[in-house]
Amino acid sequence: MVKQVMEEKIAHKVEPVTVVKNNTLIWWGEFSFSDGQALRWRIGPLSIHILRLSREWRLGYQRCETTDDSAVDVERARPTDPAAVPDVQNRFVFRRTTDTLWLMPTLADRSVVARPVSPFYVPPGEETVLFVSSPLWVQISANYNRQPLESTPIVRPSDTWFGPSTREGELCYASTTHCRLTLEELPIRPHRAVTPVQIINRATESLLVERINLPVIYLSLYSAEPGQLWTDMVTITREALDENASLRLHKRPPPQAGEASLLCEPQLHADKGILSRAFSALFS
Amino acid sequence: MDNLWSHVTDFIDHERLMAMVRAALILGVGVVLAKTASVSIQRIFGRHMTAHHVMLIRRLAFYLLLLLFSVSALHELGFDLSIVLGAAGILSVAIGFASQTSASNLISGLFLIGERPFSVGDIIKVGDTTGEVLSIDLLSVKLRTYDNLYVRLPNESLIKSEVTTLTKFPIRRLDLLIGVAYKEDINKVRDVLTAVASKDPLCLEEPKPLFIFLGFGESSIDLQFSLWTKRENFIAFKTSVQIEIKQAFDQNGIEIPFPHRTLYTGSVTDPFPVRVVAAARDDKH
Repeated sequence: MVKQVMEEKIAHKVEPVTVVKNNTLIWWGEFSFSDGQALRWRIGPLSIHILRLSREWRLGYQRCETTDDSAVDVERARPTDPAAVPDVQNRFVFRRTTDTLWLMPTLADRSVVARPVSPFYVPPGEETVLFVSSPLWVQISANYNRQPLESTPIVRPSDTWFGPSTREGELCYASTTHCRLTLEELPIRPHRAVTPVQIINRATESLLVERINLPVIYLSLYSAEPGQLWTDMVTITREALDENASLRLHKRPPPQAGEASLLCEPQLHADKGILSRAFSALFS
Repeated sequence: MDNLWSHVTDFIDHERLMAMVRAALILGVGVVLAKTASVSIQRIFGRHMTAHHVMLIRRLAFYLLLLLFSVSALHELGFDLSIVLGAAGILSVAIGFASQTSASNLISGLFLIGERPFSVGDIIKVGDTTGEVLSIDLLSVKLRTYDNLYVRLPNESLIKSEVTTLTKFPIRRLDLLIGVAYKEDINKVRDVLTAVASKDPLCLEEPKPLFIFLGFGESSIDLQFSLWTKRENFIAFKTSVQIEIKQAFDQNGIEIPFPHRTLYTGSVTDPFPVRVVAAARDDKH
């Protein structure tokens, strides 16, 4: 009974929210909530319900099953019913909640393995640029610089193993990506980040690309118009003689992105910006 | 009174008492030194070596120092060490016979520590017991089972029997044995199973799921479908994927048959003759 009264009281307090930008594809940023207000986001298959109470934040998630994630509709900060209970709801209690909340996209916390629709060869002396898209997480923080309250994947990617055997290797996320070769073919998907991967083959043999291990934990995230998210460009060079491949992180927005601004720093910093790895640790 | 006092002083001056005090002091210093050495070893080697190697070195240092100081204390008390060692030799034969099992466990413990098939914190399976290794001691290994029981396994049995370490490698394979009805299209079953595997995020995309046609069973076509998952997700995945397979089979009308018997009368066309015995009995009345 008490709960019902409280919920009714909350329901009357719904107010419109201040919108940071008018771009309909941008779902991230700083959002203000009045006490008792509930807002809803929809980013592809994920719905986020956030309710602010005087002493707690309630973060709720709902996922709809969809196999086609090429067309993504984004709905940001729509007022919703505070009494609605999503499938998953987590509560975070404070002495007193502040009126702002940050929703930011972040890259995966493990490497992402991209598999082109069909494998291809890079002949000796040739180079190419692939556009590899990787899944994103939504990080929700009550304060910009503080520890985030929670991080949840927009689409939970499948786990995969990348290594020469079942004993040695690395647990990664599998990315269902087309590894497109031209920028024009690239659809704008605000729930995935695109990494331009330049592959240079200096060896005397053709390089068969079946799977690429992309260490996204070393990459920054940039936002560009009209709502597309990009990461640093990565150059993978297969050396002429030895079995090593060098992986260079460009540490700036890729030229394909146009005007872009930094959204998220890398989770791990590579010391030199160049990682030398065994060839088998990057391709298979 | 004076008489009593002189008796007491005589006693204190007595050589034997002084020797006892000295022996006690040596023993006390020995215990303190052994403990300090043990703590120092933990600090020095703790970062570079595994927990049970450090534990072994600590114990070895502790008991060695204690033994040296005890021998020295005994010497101080006037025991002739050669006689003590001689007696210890005879005694050790007797103890050896009496404590055969303990000695065997001790030696097995040393081998276990040297071989390192598992370490503290691993999940192991020995016979019917599965649990987390709490400690590897000289005589036994202590486990905590999933139902929170404390199990002591003698080292000798671990050396003799098959021990499976479940947490050695980061990924595990789940083998599902599935029987489908003879009427089913096996390619369709294969497609349905593959679709379930690719939809479940806990199922690893690589190594690829394995589909094996095991054979023609009595009541079903027997299949094996093997899927890989992260070690920590194994139990959750085992449950979720089997529920998903059952749901997918129901949606696609794939039958999982019960064991059944067909009674065959010798001809394909003739019906099985049935005689209603109860009705015949009624006619007689």
